[in-house]
Amino acid sequence: MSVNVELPSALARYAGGTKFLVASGDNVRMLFEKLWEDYPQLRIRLLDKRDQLYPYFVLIKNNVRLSPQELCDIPLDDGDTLEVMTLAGGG
Amino acid sequence: MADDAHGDAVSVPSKVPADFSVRRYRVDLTSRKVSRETVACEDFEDVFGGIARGFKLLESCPVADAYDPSATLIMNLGLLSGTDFMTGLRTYFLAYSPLKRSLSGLPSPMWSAGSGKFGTKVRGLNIDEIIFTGRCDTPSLLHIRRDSEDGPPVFDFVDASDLIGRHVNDRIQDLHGRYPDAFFAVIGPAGENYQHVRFAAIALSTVNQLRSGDGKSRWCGRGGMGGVMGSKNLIGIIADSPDRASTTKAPPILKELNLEVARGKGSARFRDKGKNNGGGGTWSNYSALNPVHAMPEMNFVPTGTDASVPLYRDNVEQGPYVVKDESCFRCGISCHKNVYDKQEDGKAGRFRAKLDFEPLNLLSSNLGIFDIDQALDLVELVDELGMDSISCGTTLAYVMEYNRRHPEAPIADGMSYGDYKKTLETIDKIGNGQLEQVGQGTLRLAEQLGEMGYAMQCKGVEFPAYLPQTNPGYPWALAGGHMSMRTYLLLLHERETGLDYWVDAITNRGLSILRDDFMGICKFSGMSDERMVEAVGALTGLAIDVATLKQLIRRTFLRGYRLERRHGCTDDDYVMPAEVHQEYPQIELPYFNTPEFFSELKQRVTARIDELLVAEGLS
Ligand code: SF4
Repeated sequence: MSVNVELPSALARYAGGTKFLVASGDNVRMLFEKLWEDYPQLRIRLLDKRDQLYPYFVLIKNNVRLSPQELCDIPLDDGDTLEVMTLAGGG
Repeated sequence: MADDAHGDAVSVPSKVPADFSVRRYRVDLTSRKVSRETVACEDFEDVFGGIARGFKLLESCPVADAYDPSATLIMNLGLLSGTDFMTGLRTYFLAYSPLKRSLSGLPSPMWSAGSGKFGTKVRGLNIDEIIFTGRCDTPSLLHIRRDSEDGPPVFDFVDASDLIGRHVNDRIQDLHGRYPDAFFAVIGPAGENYQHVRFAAIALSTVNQLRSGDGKSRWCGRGGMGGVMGSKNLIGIIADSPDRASTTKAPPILKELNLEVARGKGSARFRDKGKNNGGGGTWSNYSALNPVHAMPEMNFVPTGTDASVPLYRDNVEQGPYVVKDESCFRCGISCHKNVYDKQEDGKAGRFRAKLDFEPLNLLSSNLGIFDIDQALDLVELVDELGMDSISCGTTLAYVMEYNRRHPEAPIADGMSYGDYKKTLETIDKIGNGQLEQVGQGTLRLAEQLGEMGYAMQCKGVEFPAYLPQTNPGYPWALAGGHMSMRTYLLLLHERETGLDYWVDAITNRGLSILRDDFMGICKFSGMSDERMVEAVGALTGLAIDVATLKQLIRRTFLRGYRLERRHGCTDDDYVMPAEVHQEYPQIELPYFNTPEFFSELKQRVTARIDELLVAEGLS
């Protein structure tokens, strides 16, 4: 199963220079584990010490925003899109 | 801008700078003489306008005193200001600043930009740039209009004595009654009291403001541009031209570009949650930064507690308030988060204030005030007096910190953290010119008191609401750290602490934020350089590629830096307050900005900028 992942532009440099990745996993947790294998630099930039997504990111699956509580076990299907969006921004 | 730049839509961009010209007006306020010149463009700087052309102009008119009548105040547009490109609404004011200065005492170059519909009206009058010098003998308004539909702009001076002392929105609504087709750039009481307030702002009226009657201006806030205008006895500028339907067909790509601005990823953070997965605007920084204690509290020293949680937008909306996302003229991002009292029927009642992250944070948490109702009052009052909320808030925080350290000899009536009532009174006094000690801003106040270590500013410009402990790029920001140097949230996202990384961040990546200060659009549009090159080509016919655009950004920075140096800045001016370099364990981000790190960084940044100046022929 392959899922299309979109990272914030700032993190592309830690994912081989692209913000668009294809990764696999039956749920968000598994997909992230796979991502860390391929791009270990991403992990410390997305997850805190308790393995929670930092509060300045939100996950959007197929254009629907996920709440932080449901992140890990959300199932993923072939062709899904998962976007990591950053909330903190200037102005 | 130039004579033919905003005429017919162009399919294949092929124009070069020499094909453009600038319609510039020189207004001598002393003699009330106005002259027009049409200036052929020599380079991309001239074509784009904004700070790119503005810096070139400032090079030729140095001053020793920002308030000297001979000082120059430039008001201009960017290339896409007033076009149909969404967010193309920016108006720029440039001058030598009464706030920003070198240690030599000379005022430093500065600018401030604002949206609203004023810039569109200026474009409608066929004006690219106005250069003001001199001083009106009495408080005056400059009314710019046309005698006939296609005639040249006519400049009239109108007595403004009746506006003196009145709050900003009151002035704008009064002017709206008199000039229904016009939009306005006005100063408030702070600008009139420029001798005692160095951070006065210029308000630009918005459509929403004129329709609703509420104080919903956009602001050219930073660097005391309102004080420069006040020193010229120029209380307001009236851009008076009827809206006209475009006579040319919009280029086909425009719709696609505007859709991207309104609904694309680049602007997502600034849109409301309900709008194509928006991030909720800059107010979201509260819930994003506070959990890792990377948000200013108590003069930029986070408490490491939950004290600021009541100020999260979600929590505010559970109280007796309605938050609406509203916008400038035809903007789909709708970044304004306007707060209203909630009526009994649940609908929005009285307008209270527009809350962006910066004014909210610096006038609440950073002052130890954690009550939203009090914060709304403070934000509104600072706006109504016509002051920059960042500089005002940061200076107040310095006062509170000083008083905490010196309970035996406090200043400003002993104002302390969390003291809403005295804060309100103090703001009122500053804006009305009755408290120069605080109105002079953080740098001068700290020098006077002899305590620089926690004066949160660089080159006299107060820090915005992003922790300086995490951003060693602040000293090289030309016009305030969140508008002119894009290094302020890098540590949060990228967590890099190496010297090579930070040298590149400051001398290369961080400069990208300057692009929209000559493009004429909002930074919130979040458009890539590739897309902006397309937009420029489609709307103006100018042929430019991404590499040239990047070079223009770099050259613009270098010109600004060179101006700072010419105006007295030495290596000693590019420093940060000493306490910034300490470790604060409560900040859950890597500690790296030590004195030693910063010292080495400075040497390398300076050397790199020197190399770039030589490479660009600007040394
Ligand atoms: S992004 Fe905000 S400030 Fe800019 S034009 Fe749109 S509504 Fe106005």
